[in-house]
Formats: sequence, structure tokens, C-alpha cells
Amino acid sequence: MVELRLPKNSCVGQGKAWSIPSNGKTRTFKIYRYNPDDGSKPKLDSYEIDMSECGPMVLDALIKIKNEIDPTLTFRRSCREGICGSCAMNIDGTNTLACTKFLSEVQGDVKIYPLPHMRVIKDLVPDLNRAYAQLSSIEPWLKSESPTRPDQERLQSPQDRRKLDGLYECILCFACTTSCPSYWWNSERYLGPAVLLQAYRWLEDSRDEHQGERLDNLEDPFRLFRCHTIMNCSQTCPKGLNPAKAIAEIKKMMIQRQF
Amino acid sequence: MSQSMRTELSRVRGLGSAHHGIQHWWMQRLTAIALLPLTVWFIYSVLNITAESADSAIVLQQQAQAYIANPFNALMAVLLVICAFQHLQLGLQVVIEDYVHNATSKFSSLIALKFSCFIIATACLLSIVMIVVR
Repeated sequence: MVELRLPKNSCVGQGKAWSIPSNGKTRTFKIYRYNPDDGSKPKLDSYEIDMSECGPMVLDALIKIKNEIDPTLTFRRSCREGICGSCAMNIDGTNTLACTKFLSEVQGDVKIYPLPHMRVIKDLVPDLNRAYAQLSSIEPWLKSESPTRPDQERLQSPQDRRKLDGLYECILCFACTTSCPSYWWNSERYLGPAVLLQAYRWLEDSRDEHQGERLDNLEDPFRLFRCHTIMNCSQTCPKGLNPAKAIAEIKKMMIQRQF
Repeated sequence: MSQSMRTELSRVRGLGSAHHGIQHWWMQRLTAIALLPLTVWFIYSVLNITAESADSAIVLQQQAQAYIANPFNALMAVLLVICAFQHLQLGLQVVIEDYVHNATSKFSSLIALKFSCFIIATACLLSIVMIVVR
């Protein structure tokens, strides 16, 4: 039946507090901690750090905590410039990238949780395997049979290339997908906004020759039509993209081929 | 976490695409557009029928029957019932698919939904026909 109560691991308890003497420039970070190995429930640890010795981004603070206070704090990060998508997490109630989120944008204590409604591997690291499988299920590569001359690339007009703007920039951080309530309830069958934006990126590519087959694979009450235009995806995208519009365009393509 | 040894890709592909869904989506939009004028007509009708003072429920019922007996109003009432119940069952179907994951509960509630909407809509249409031919 309908699940009314939260699963046991979703109840977050009070964790350790790491405080320092206040010098007027301290700030408190409340960070979700979960270790599947110790068998205990998730906890919210709180860390105080001196902001005069910390960089401007949330990721700077996380790295400072890991280096100087608590080396067991676990999170993914790589490029620190919003292009790898590794450090996607829920900061101050919104899914975003720790490396491009300014600490000055957050009022009061900084609350940091992993991406919502995903299985947590440890602390701020969610299990994204299903999301990656969903991405491969839409075959995100150019599919084309028409031969090209060996000394020539597949040509695309500047106008057709411009149609991919706002789509190709997606870094697959899955901030949008994990912000979508519809994905929370039906992630086994709904593809989610990030994957659907990628699907549209290939549907809209003038060089691709498998539009119809791609649409056939998406035309499903769950894969595509679980999108109920909640719009969390477009609101939260740290790259300022609009997955909700991409999904609407896929639906329009399906209407277009009916009439 | 999961007991199954199936790969994620196999699970995601599942039973494949159902190759439908756009008709459901399109019908929901069409009935929504149709319900805009029909709802305005319905509110206007209720205000119209209750505008004249009625001493008793019987008098009010007679006023409503006289109103529906008018061919234009009968047509609007029939269209309203068809569109409203079609829209209702399409919308509630989505709610059930969203939240009910146990197969037995899902299919039994879907069947109950479809049957009850069809029965109530048919009863409404039959009532309108009986008023008109009386």
C-alpha cells in the first residue's frame, strides 16, 4: 500500500558538535553523517569554523573541515569549478553544487545533506548507479547510418547547432532529478529530468537519424509521463538549464507525429 | 540493499516502453480546455436556478428540472458530465499510478476508479435524458 511512515534510515538524530572559541567570525555547519558500517542511524554533526581562514564557497568549507577537523567526513568533489558535477548535494534546502554555491548566499547555519531520496553510500555520497543506467538506456550518442566521406565530419548548420544550446551544457550532476518528487516516488520507472533533458538533446540533434525510435522508447506512462510539471528541476539546476522545458518539447514532438 | 543480482540497466529497461501515454496526456488537456467554458456555464446555471426564491426543496427541484429541460442547457449538462468524468478518471489514474506501488492495490483501485466514474457518469446522463423526455 501507500507508504506513510519514513524508512528507519530517514530519521536523522543529533550528532557530534565540534566547537571552537568564538572570535565573531565563526560559522556553524550542520552536516548529514551516515556510515552504513557502524549500524547506527544517520546523524547531523555540527562544525564551527573560522570564516577568516576559509574560502568563499561551500566546497571550501567542506574541504577545510575534512582537512583540519574531521577527516572521516566523506563527499565527492573534483573540478571545483562547476563542470564535473561531482559535488552535487542539498545545501540550505536546495540541490546545488558545493563548488559554485557562495557561503554568503546562505543565511544562518549552513545545512548540508546528500542529494534527496537516494540510497546513501556514506555521508554526502549518494548511490547514482540507477541514474547512470537510466542515462545509458536512452543511448546518449549520435546514431546515424548515412555514410560520410572519411575526410569530412557530419555537417550541421549554425541554426541547427544553436538548438543544442541550453542542452549540451548539462553536467549530469543529477541535482534536478533528485529534486523531483515524481522521481522520488517512481525512480524505478520514471527517467527523471536530467536523463530526459539528455534524451531531448539527441532528439533535437539534426545529425541524428533515430528520432522516431528514440520517441518510441520514451513513449511510456512512466518513463516520460510521470513528469507533472512540478518545475523543481528548472528551479534547482545549478547550471541554469531548463529540463522542464526539454520534457515539454519531447511531449510536443509526440503530439506532432500524431497529427 | 537490493537482493536481486540483476544489473541496473536490466532493471531500468524493465518490460520496455508501453508505447502509449501521449493519448492519455492529450485527452487530459482537451478535457481541461473544454471544462473552462463548461464550468463557467455550470456556475452561471447554479446561480440562475437559485436566484428565484424557492419555498421548499421540491420547488427548487422543479426550477432545476425546468432549467435542464431547455435543449441548450441539456446539451451543456451532457457535455459537462462527459468531460468532467473523463478528466476526473484520467487525473485520478495518475494519482494512483504515482503513489500506489503494490500491484494488487494498484489494479484493484484502478478498476474501482474506472467503474465508479463510468457508473456515476452514466447515471448523470440518464437523469438528464429523463428530464428532457419527460
